[in-house]
Amino acid sequence: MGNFFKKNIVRIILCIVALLIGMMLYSVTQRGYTLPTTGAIGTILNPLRSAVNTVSDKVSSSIKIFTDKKEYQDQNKLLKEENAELKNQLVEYEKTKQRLAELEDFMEIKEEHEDYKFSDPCTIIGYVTNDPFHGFIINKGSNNNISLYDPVVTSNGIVGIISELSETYSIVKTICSPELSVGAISANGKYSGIVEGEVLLSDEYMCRMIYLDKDTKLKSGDLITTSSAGNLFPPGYLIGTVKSLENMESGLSKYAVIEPAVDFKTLSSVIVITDYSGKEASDGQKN
Amino acid sequence: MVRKISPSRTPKQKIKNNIIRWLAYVVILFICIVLSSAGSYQKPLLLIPAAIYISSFSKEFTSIIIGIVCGLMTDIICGSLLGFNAILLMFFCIITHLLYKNLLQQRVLNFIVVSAVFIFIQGVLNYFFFYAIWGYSNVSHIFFYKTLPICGYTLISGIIIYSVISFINNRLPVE
Repeated sequence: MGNFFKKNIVRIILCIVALLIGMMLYSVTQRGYTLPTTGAIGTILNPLRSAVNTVSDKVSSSIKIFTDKKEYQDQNKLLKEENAELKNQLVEYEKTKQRLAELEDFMEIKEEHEDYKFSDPCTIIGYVTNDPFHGFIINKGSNNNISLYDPVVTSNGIVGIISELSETYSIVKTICSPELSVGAISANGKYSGIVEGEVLLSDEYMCRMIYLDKDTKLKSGDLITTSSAGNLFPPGYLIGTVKSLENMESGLSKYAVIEPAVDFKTLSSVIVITDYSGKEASDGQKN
Repeated sequence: MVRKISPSRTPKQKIKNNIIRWLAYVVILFICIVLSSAGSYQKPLLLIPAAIYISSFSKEFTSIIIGIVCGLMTDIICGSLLGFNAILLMFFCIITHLLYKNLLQQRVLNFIVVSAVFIFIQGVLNYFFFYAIWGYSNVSHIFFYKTLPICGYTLISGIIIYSVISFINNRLPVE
């Protein structure tokens, strides 16, 4: 083994390590813009990602039907097999219906917010592998006028921001991530704070609103919307509803557990707000 | 019955065998990439055991290349800083190559021990640099409920990868 360290290969390894460290530093300076090589590999991988994701969805739907079969048997023994078949078709039908409803909703929000510029509906083509905060990949990138840190929403509420951008795809960081802080205010305008992700809550697809006074009167079911603070999102967009109030670890303030208006478990397409009044100011702050 | 191809004798046969074997590895690595990026569930990082096992019988320079390629692909599918896993896997692969060249024999137990160590190191470093260092509250939850299970899945799936690559090596012996 001693001879190994005398060989040229050690010098080669050191050069490669230096190169890789250089690449890492360059990636950091790109602030979320993917390197050309990464973008190219991602572009090649995306159709596969999308296909495998579809297969994976179908397999899990089938497994779900199989595990629920006993319940169907109890409910309706005679129609057991037929029910399973119909359920299969229903899954497909529900998916199509949901997609159609989402598209209709997107049309509605376009009409509601005329000052916003939206991207075309973006399909979720995959998920960031093993991301505890549910980051995902959408099939639109800078070619579709999407920019880094653009807000990602659905008709139900906010989803997250664009955290990594390539020409043909983007990675979305969700509001379940502790890396993302969103200025928030209660719908009645009385209580403001910051909505951010938290490790334990993200398991349940929830987030929390911090910096609430100890005597806050927020209660379960109150609606929380984005505020103008932070400038990441246009103000007045629904984030979610208050589920409960808890004391912060320090005991000095409270936080509200927020159930996002968006159901991340069934999310299949989103829309990106590419422009809105006040975005320039927010871009200035980000830079 | 699967007919085992006898070790190639002529240089032409050797080259042909090597090309087919490496094409098979590329296909396996590609399948690993696709499987590792499917669905929103916790998944094993299949490229790590694949890279470790391939480097156990490859030459040193090949091991380095395999480590870097698999590491970069892991970085892309995990959305981590590009180069982070490449550096780690490069070192894992070169160390595996040296261990097998000087100390270890090709046995499944050796592979399990070596890959378990490297998978755990990768998991710990990944946890440290991407979560622990940022001081999120309850961050240890990620280690116990995400990192460790993923290490376990990766190790278990590594045995399957070991079997598949061993099968290829039996059919197209490494010379």
